[in-house]
Amino acid sequence: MNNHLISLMVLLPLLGAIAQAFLPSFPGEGKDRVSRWLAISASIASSFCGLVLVLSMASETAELQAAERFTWIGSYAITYEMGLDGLNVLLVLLVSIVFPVLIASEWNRAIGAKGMFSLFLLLQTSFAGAVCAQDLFLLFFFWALSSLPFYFLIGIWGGEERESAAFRTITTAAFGNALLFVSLILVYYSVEPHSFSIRDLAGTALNGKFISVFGSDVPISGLAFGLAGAGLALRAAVWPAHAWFTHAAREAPASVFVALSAVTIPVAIYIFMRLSYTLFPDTLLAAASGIVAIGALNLLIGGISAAAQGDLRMLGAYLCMGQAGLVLIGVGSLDSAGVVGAVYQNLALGLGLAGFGLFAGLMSERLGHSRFLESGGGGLALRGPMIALVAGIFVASLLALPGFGGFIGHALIVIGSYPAHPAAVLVALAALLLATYYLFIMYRLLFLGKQNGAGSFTDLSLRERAYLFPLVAGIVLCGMYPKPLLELVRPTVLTLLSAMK
Amino acid sequence: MMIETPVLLFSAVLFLLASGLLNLIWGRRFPRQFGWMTGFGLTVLFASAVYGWNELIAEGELSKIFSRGWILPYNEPGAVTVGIYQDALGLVAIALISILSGFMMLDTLTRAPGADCRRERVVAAISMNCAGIALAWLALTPWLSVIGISITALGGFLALGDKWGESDEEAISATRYAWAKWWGIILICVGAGILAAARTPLLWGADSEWARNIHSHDEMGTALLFAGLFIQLQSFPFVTWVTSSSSGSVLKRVFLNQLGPGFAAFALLIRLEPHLRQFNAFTVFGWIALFSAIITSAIGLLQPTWRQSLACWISAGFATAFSILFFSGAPGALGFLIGLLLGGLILAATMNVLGKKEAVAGGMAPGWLRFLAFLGVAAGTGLAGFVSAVGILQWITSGALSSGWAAVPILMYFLFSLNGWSLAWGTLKTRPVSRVSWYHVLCLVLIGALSLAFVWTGTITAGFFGVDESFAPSLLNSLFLISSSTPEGPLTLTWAYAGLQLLSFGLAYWMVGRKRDLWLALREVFPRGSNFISSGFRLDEVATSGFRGTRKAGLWMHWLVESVVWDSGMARGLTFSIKKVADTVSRADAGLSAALLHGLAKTVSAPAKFLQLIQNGDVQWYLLFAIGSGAAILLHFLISKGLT
Repeated sequence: MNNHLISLMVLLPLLGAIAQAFLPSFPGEGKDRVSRWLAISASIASSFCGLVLVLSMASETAELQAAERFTWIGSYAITYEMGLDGLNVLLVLLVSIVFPVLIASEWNRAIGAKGMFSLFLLLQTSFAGAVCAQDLFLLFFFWALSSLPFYFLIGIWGGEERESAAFRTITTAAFGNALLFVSLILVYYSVEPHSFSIRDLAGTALNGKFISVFGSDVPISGLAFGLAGAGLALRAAVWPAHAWFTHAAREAPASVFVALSAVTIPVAIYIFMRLSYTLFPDTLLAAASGIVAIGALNLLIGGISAAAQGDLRMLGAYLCMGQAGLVLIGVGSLDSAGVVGAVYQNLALGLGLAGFGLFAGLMSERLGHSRFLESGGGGLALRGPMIALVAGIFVASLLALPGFGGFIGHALIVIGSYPAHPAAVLVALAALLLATYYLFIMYRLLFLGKQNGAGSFTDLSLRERAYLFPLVAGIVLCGMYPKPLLELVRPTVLTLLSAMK
Repeated sequence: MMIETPVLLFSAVLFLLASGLLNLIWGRRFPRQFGWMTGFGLTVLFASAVYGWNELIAEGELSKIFSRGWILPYNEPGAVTVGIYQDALGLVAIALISILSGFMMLDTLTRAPGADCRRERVVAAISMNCAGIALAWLALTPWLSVIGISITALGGFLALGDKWGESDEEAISATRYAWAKWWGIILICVGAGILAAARTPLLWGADSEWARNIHSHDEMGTALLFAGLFIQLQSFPFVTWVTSSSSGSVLKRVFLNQLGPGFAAFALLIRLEPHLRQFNAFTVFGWIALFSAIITSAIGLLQPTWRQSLACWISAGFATAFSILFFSGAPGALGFLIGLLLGGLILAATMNVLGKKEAVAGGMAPGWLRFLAFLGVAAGTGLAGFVSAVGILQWITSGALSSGWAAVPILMYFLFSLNGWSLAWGTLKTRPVSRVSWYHVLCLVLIGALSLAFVWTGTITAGFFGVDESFAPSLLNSLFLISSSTPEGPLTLTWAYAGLQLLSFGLAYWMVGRKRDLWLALREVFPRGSNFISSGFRLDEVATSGFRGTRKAGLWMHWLVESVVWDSGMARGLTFSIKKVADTVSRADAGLSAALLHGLAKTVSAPAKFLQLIQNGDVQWYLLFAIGSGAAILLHFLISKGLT
């Protein structure tokens, strides 16, 4: 199967973004109409390619599928190498679902719509590219590219403190990217012949190689693993390097916050998995307990901090931070169920957080703010039953209610992680119980009880229902019938784990 | 092509679930259509259960299994498997709950419009409640059973949602219900996950295989599982929700929020019992349940309203059933549970007309209603002729005598009976009943008939006083495949049991049946102590402070990391160092530029002065340069033209 679908998926949004720049200005109310339709068409076309790719994936094989390989910068062994396997296929699905939804959610953006759509399309290209890239340089190229649009999206369309939030976001991302790049360069120069190809570097290519640092020999694998891990942790908002993320959550428009939380963080964790399972297996074996500990710490601190929040976005941000910790527990479990659970939870978490973030945005639009503790809301379920139902589904998925996407990931991570890391699972349990507490409080204050204020609160419009539907459908399908997706993931995970052990 | 019965049963459950969802979404717009759909779904479910049972009998099989892998391939260690287990026990539970749900539907639909502010939500809740319970009893594995329990809990949440918009108290009550149910479900799932790790999937009937394959983490898994199930039963310390305020119908609240979810949770408990009996956690929770039942009964006695007392009575009953399961096994527990289910419903139906204890005034309830209230308590407390007597006798026989802690179960049973009979005597002090439909009457009479011993135990007295007048084979015995007849305790113990009943009946009359309610008088004499006990020993306040502390810790952490470390520390440090470096570089740059400028100025100043002198100096120099320049130009011209 190779119809250059991956390239199409990656390049179509880029073409859409470029085309936006050449659109003539139309006078009157319909001035952004062409821009909107162009953006959504490019995004949906790319997503369609992504969905076709996922649907046409052969299950029960760990082989790289839909692979494309061209020489890009031959003299430095840099190739344009793309492909899909069990580790990244669910993220292709996530990117394909989320970005058209985000563009549709900004459909009525009055100021600078063209620019915003271009940046979203650029983000779609960069995330799709980063997910599918099988060459370290290419991967870094797309990953680093993804940080730039956020600077503009937050800095131009954000809240009152948008400049500082944008600055923090871009500096943290730049620092993280720099660490990752150093790690990749270290890997590149440590093998002969030099290569950026993940397939060439997979396994034991770095074993027994050392570098002299201040006179002592340090294993290259460990150093590169640490640098890459630190760089990705910065962008994945792992505690305590999360302050930029919560700042951005406060200031960014809802759709941008969704792109940050529901896509950037899962993709950062994916890149960490890809690099550590393929390039640094021995180091990962040694560091597994540390990763689980970091995950548990994130879960606990994310949970406690979320309990203190009175703002929907901040709640979402800390929830995201905690849930990323759960995925890390699965990553570090080194058990097939745990790792499959982590990959699956990346998708379920992305869909749930996307829904939650958009729900926060919708509430902001209607109430004029997103503070639920002192909102004067309450009783909104009677005036907005559909928004109450949809919010309930997103919350249920984040709380791992059976039948929703989050349940599958949580169950697999618990099953896979408990034998080796019982304490971490108990921490996860405590965090989940705590999440139930604060999410239900939020839900009650907004939707249940007596109606207070919020006079013109309206239920979901047709457009809002239309763009929230893919997220709801995705969450329900992932929760009800996970088998086809799990069958895509498992062979790759089993192969990687067997190679490790 | 014949449809397999497990598939038929599952389809009926799905249909009912779908009807619940449709009612929820479009029920207000099309109340008649979707109301009928739910009624049809209940009928189909009942018919499927009857058909399934007939089929088992006709084929001479004890059970049928229909299993599938859900998460990870089937039979792989750690796999999450689901399936349908068609056996007599599950089918009887489904038939019973579909009948009771049908009565609830009739009760809801025949009420005058407007009596319930959101009738379609109640219908949706009934559908989901019944579908969830049926799924829990049909499930082959704990996982599907948990899904059933979740659906039942969701139904209960919707039922509370009938009053969401009325007051914040109702909303808080709904939230507390959701917390309790959801925490229970999370613990069950994590417990099941720990048990499922690294072993083949747990299927009912595989207890011997399970027993051979013990792991070090099984105790923890079992403990979490039981903790979750215990929370579902809403006994102490999770009892405070049931006494929280609610102005909705008592019948609806009891059926959809207490009995339904509890009955669903017992499906998992009874199925798991043979698998988990070997673990110490099982014993621990048996005793926890026992003490919890005592405390819950004590809390119930001091409640200010009848409906709160009834709620506590049912919760205490669930804890009692749990401890019966531990002491004497599943048949006794199920017997007691059915008695509690039916008795609780009868009482709830009668309590629908009761208000606050203080507000009692004027007139008496009709005699038949009072009779049914006593019938309900008799069913729940296992008086002779009712099914729960089997469970209680078994419990007292095997538990109280063998444990050496005989006083504890006896005290528990005494308090439980006292609470129940107090409720029954309370019906003497009701207002005249103004609105009772025929469906109410039919419902109550049928429930009474169902709870009679001969349906379940095949006897009139259920072995009480050693008399066993058999009418038919005991249904309980056939459900659990026990060959012996109703287990009986020694005659002296039976008399002791009768004595306890008599004592509690008499004391309840003394406290409640006379002109003055002495429980209320006790509350007035010892207000603080009574409030302390009736509020569930202020556990709510403790929990609230705990959460408040967590919130404070979260705020502190947020302040520490974001404000101190990042905003003040890291950000300022980074800004300061970057500024310092920038200032230094800038100063150096300025100095270098100045030096360069100075040097350049020096270099050009002499020729500049000379040129300046040329331009504005004296005339000789000007003339000299003018002539010189003119000569040079002329020479250049001559050379380039003439000389070449």
